[in-house]
Amino acid sequence: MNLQQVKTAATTPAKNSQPVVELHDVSVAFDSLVVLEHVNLEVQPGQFVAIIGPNGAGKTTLLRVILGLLRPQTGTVRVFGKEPWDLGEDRQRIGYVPQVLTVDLKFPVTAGEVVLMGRYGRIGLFRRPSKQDVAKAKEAMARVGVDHLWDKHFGHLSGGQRQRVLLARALVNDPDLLILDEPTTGVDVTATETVYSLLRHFHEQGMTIIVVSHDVGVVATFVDTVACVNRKLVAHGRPEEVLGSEELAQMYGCDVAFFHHGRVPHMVVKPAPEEMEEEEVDF
Amino acid sequence: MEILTYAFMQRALLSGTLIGILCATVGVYVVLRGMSFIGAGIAHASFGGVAIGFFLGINPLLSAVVFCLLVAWGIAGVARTGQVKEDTAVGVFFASTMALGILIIGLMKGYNVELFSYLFGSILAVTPTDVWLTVAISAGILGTVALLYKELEFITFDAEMAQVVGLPVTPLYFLLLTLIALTVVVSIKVVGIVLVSALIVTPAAAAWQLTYRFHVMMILSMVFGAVSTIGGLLISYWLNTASGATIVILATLIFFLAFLFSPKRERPWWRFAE
Repeated sequence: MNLQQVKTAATTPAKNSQPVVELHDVSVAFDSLVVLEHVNLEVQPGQFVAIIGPNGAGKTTLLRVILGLLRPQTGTVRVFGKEPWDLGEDRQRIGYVPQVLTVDLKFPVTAGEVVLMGRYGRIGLFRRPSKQDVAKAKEAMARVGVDHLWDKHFGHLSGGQRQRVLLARALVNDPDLLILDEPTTGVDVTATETVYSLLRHFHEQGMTIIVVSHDVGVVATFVDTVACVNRKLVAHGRPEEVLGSEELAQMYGCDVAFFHHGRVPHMVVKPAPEEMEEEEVDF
Repeated sequence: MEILTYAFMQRALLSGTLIGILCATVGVYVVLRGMSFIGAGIAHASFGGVAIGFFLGINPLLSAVVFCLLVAWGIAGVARTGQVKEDTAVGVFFASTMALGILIIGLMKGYNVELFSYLFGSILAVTPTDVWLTVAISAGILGTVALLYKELEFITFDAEMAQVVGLPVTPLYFLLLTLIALTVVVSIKVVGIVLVSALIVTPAAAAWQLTYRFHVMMILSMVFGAVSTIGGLLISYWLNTASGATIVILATLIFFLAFLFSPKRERPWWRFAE
């Protein structure tokens, strides 16, 4: 019953002993609402981890803890061996791709400026971006194939283009750890596969990647570890171990529906029954 | 053009131009971040500050600066706890500081005409000291915006991401509120407490209609702010109308023109009804 005891049989061996991310007994509550409870999680260098779980399971909260945006009430968090709200220069080693829907589309900003903003922490206060910063931004956009969009208004881009621009912003500092929150929301299938192919490519180059998603199927074919979160860390292990388990469905609501359309076997975490009608699955 | 030979008009035009530019500059952040209500709230709070100055017999602008800063930081502090929404915090401070001003006026003997000129603004009220104060504060605010241009743009666009890349988001947020509070205080003599928030919001809103670029929006907003105050002051002189109201009406006209001819419109306004 206790899948938590399944060892993290990472396909990628750790290059050194220090995990990139360590959460020990982390609990987060907003007033009386407990969002995360006693979560333990380790991410080793070079691992490609998917955090899955139903809506409202605390996935985004978990990311916010790792990013240092939120301090847990109990437990310890370490990123690169430091507290994530006090990372100093190591902050630039993290690339973060937020949910694309959270970005203000009416703001007067070009795609190139959005990517350049990823450098602002490194550039420092009072200084203007240098030619080198602009070159890094263009290079990051080229890596994900959106360099031709440099001068375009961010709000005029398609969902898939916007997602890749945000990915470019996360890549602009050559991060060691890449964190993505629902990178395929509001994006069509082709764009989804483009994003994951890019992620696989970065993974092969040794980047550590954590991706939050409710789209289990796409995730399962790319990642080496799945962590299922529903307030607690329900299961943690290789995709076939975690996703093949009956216990997830029964115990914790990480119920997985399988589909076999298209090139990629497609699974989603089933929403609660009353939400089923709204959650249209399309391919 | 003989009006330019009047010293009071020279002072009003110099102060007015600076104020127009200042309001339009902070207005860009206010409009993009959706904080219009904070601008209005701080403006109304300045009434309490001005009243305190009259009561204590010190320069009302000085007491208004201190008072508005405390209110701005108070709003931010209360809102940051997360227990009260930002607009609720503004609502609480906004009415209570106005009430405080009215109470203090009631304690004073007689009817203070000068105090009421702060409510609606008066070009005759701008003293040489006020001009120097305006010049100094304008230099400070515009200098700060120039130095922290990219940071202020980033926290306005996406505060969470700004925090992730390591910008000091909370101090910058308090700094932005400080800039708004100082802008309000230097503006109230010319445009008045009641109308200053319009001068903050309207030129920036007009500029936003016309561009997809942040720096273009900033420049257009400054131009609209300056044109509104200079034009409004001259028109108010010729037509003998209230200066603050004339400035705001002119700014609003510019906004509607920008709105109607905005390249962002999906269909032109003359086909709006179809």
